[in-house]
Amino acid sequence: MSARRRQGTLRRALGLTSARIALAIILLIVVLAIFGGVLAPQNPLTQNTNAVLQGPSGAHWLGTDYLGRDVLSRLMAGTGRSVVGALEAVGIGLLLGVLPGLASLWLGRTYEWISLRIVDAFMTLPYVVFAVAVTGFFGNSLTAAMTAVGVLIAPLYFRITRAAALGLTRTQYVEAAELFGSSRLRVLRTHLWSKILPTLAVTTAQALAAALLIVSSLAFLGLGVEPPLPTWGELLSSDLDYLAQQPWAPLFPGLLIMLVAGALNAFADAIRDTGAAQDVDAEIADAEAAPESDEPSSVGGIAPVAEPVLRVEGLRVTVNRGRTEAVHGVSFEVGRGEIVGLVGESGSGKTLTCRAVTGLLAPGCERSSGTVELLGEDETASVDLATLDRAGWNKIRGQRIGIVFQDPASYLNPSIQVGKQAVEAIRVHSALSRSAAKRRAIELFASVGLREPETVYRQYPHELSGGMAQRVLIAIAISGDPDLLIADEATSALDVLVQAEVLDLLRGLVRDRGLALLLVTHDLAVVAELCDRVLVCDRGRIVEQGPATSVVTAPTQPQTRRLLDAARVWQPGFDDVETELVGADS
Amino acid sequence: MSLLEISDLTVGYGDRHTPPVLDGVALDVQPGEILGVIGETGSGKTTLARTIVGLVPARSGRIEFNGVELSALRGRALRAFRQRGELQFVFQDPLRALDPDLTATESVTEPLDAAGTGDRTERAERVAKALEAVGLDQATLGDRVPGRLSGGQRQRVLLARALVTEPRLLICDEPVSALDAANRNHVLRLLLNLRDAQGIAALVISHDLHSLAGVADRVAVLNEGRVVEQGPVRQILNSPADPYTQRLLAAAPRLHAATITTQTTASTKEPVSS
Repeated sequence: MSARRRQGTLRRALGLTSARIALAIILLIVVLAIFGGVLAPQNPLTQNTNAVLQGPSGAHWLGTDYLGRDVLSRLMAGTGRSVVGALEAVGIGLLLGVLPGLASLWLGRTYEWISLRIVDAFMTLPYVVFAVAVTGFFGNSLTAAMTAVGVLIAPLYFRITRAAALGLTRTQYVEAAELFGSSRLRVLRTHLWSKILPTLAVTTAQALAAALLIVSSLAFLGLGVEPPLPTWGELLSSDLDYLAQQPWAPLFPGLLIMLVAGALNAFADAIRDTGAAQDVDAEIADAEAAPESDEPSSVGGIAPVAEPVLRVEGLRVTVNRGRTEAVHGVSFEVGRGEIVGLVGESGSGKTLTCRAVTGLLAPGCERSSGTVELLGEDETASVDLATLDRAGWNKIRGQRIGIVFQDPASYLNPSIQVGKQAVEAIRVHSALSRSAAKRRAIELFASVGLREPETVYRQYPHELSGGMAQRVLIAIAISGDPDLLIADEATSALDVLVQAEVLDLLRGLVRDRGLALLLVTHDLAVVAELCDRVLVCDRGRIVEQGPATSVVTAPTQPQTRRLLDAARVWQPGFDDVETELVGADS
Repeated sequence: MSLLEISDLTVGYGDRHTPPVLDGVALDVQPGEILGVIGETGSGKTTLARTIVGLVPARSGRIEFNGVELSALRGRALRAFRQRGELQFVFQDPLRALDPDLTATESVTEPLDAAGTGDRTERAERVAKALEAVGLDQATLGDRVPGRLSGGQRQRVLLARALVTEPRLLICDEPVSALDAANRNHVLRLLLNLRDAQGIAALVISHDLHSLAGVADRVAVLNEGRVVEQGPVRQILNSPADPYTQRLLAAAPRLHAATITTQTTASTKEPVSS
């Protein structure tokens, strides 16, 4: 499975032009490393004292050196030794770094303490000085120099491997494996290896580039040089001695070293970027997993709203890079001082709709047609949200639209006091001074019902309960005095007592500030408690809408009934509810 | 004899001077019974579940499963016990509890691989049976990684992984709180079916009394690390004795205001009829 995933990453990475060019250069270097000596137009060791330090010519494309040897041939023939040197260093680094890093999984605290001290000590050593010392001790050979470099690369690998391995052992799937009685080795093979490997691959590409530079630098200093066999670095240094006669001579080996190091780094970047982007968005998976319905689009008309703040018309959203349509023409309005609930099961398209409205669609998702308008008091204040670019969105989000998400903790930076984060948000869209913004933040904290707002101001996210964190986010969301507040499953992760308090808070905000509130939720009970109007979403369409009380008590659509049944069956005293509903109808 | 018997369990993080998270908890689960444990964040309910399966060490007290004292198991004996798979843990969030790189089939096979159960064919058969039991179509979904499954499907993979070892007791930590109503009911019904058809007992932890109402035979209410009230589910829902339980019941959002009455019903029938 890991191979499959990585293949995918590689293929996606190669979709990037930069990665393709980088790979082409790397392949060229590999070919040169293996066949350079054979392919070289002339013998790189043949001296010709009649043609020393010549410029480029038909016979010598890159000219000749101080002994009259062909520079192009020497560069080609030297590739092998340079690459082998770099590979040696990285290989030794991998061996000495990854194995002890993985050993952290088995060995205890004493090992950890000792290994980290050793690593710290090695990390303080400068590469070149250490290599000089080692070659001084073991003799001036390329292998000795590269072993020295490898030993110094090892701590990098050790830290990466150890951090990744220990981090992964704290994941729940590794905990689960432990509960099945899996051995550590099995855990490593099944779960850890496939996650660590991409990181190691990226590190290795970068380390190779670094090693190549180090090989060259050392050769430049005369370390690891075994004349007359050339390496790139040695070419560079010998050229330098004749800089006065041949000012352009170091250019070719220098360019080559730069080119290869650049290609390796570009390739590493491409792998890392595409690897990170491929984690499939859960909502998209839900939309894909939901069965596609064959019904024609049955969009309900827009219910007229007294003072609309948000108007969505014929919104269509495609996922999976345009291959699947998941929202099929949704229209609705939200008015000032109104609470509208957008309900539906997972995969119904409610979250995609909400993300399209807030301009936060995940990569691969796109609004394919329809308009999303934020309406102001006059024509000029109205904005077509669909046309906004990033800068435009930054003006709208936080200032005219406030957004609150399900999992408050993941929207707060764990290492910054929450008050400071609120101040940052306030200062983005106001000209307040730092101290004024701080006063405003504390005011806002108090207004969302945080007791002791000054204390909360100085706290870090982990010191807050889920309910408090959600209040902080609500405070940040309303800091720009928005017209519209969008709450995406904002209370779903909270306990019932806390949920009740947060719902109360939202109700109060709408009443006191005349906000329009769009509440996206799967919980009809929350809708029944809070909303004025309900939109029922199913398979990318709004199948029913109306006042919350009538939708909940007398649904007309089978999908709504299904949602209701689902919410109801497990209610205690279900029979009583049913009786009362019938009573309310008659 | 109780299937699971917890007595005087005290658990705490940090040293002995920090106040315990669980303080003298006593609970039992009978064979074929579903016990609901309800509490809010910070009540210690997740710690309880993790302590039972051995992910968190206990400060004192006993946890006996089927006559074996779990808290005394160490090293090889503990691993051998776990490999038998009689006690299984169902995590709250399938997206975190499933390896994102493993397909549904691979994940469900994992416990069998770890224990070295049977040969390849036998394992495949048991995996197919477990996936079928939770209503997942192996032909279409078996090769999908979690990222390509819906939330409800992922939760079912998690359950299938627990069921594949034919456990006698499931410890479920908030098994449905991440699910929408339809999927929640599917999973809860599944737990009921497993109890009725195979006699699989469960300890189901939740912060939501309503999702427990339909499945639990008995409910224990946990507040600040202590069991404040326990009894048959009807009794707790209809006439909660503890003020905390009363508050918890009153705070739950309802489809229709003021419908949940505290009147006692003569009927002992479960509110699940479908």
